[in-house]
Amino acid sequence: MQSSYENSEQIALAISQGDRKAESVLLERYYRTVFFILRRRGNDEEQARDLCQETFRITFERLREKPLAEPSKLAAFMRSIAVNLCIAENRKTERRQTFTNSDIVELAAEQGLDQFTNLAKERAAMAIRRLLTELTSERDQKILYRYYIDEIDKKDICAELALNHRHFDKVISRARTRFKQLIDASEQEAVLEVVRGG
Amino acid sequence: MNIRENESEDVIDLYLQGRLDTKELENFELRMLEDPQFFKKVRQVELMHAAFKDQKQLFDETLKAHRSVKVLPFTMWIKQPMSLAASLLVVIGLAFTGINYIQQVDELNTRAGYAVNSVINIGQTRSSASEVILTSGVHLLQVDVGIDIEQTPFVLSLLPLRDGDSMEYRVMPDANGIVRLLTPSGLSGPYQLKVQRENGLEPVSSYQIRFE
Repeated sequence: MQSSYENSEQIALAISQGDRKAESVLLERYYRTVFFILRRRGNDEEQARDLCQETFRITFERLREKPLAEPSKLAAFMRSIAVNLCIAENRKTERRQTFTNSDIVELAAEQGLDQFTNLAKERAAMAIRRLLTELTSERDQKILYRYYIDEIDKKDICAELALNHRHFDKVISRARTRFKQLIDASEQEAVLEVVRGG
Repeated sequence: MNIRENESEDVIDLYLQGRLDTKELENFELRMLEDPQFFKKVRQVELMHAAFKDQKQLFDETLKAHRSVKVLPFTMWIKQPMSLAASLLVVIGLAFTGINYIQQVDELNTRAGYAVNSVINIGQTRSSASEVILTSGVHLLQVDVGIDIEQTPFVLSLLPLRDGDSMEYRVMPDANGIVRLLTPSGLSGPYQLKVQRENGLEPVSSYQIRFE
């Protein structure tokens, strides 16, 4: 969605002035990030979705009621709402009531998200398989395993495999670069397929 | 990928592994909210982390395959007939390559060409002096050693009679029994040119040359 709002400050002020379009812009700009933050904070998909909707509901109500003292800090304001809701949720034993009747839900900011995520996951899996076939050194394979799968700290991996930090950094950096190249290549291929098909 | 990018991705890794402290986490989440490009990058790195975990089984199998490969110490490995044969082949191959390389180097050295100041047929000069006088430039010295059916090589030695380094060259006579030597430039003073068969006891001939 193209918007005429240049920054979050303008969006916050517009919502306070009753601009409904600004609410859609806010939702589009921040929904995925807030959802991501909530999910990374240990919530499952459903919980994260509920908390995300609640975050936006509170944000809209607050902005409609009165403008923020510092509209430029809209992102920080929303984050604090999301984090507080998350902490409260973790304290509760009962599941949160969902806001299925809320009009925010109708906006369905994540329509088609699952399909997109699955496709991205498939591509990522292919890239990792390819990466593994290209990586012939057992030690380098172990580095990636201990870092990405076991999530062991860099210092501990270097000590365990008797590596210097430079070698470790080089292996990780190469893996990241190659992964990106493979993902980019598969995305380009997908675009070409669409073009050919269309 | 530059250092800054790597550092940025290191922080993303720390975030995804839950290793940021409260303040760092707050700053990180705010940056994601305020910078869509950064958020996109975080999503991509998260995808990579997840893909690695999904491929755990494949990694396990690959590492297991590495472990099952028996590594022999070199001394044991070389004792195996096929290993010995392969090593011999490699040595022979390397020797041939070395010889070819030396030949190529010789070719390269002369490919650019040399300016020769004069061509001197030593032993055929009828000058009364027994000493051949040359400038310090490059000269092609030709010595008639006679036609030899056995085609034995000759050793030409250029020996300084005062100061300087001795030089020795192994050459084959041509079909007319001529051996040739291109003298290095910059020589000065009296030299003795000795021409003898390889492994021969006595020189076939000996000449006095003075470079001026």
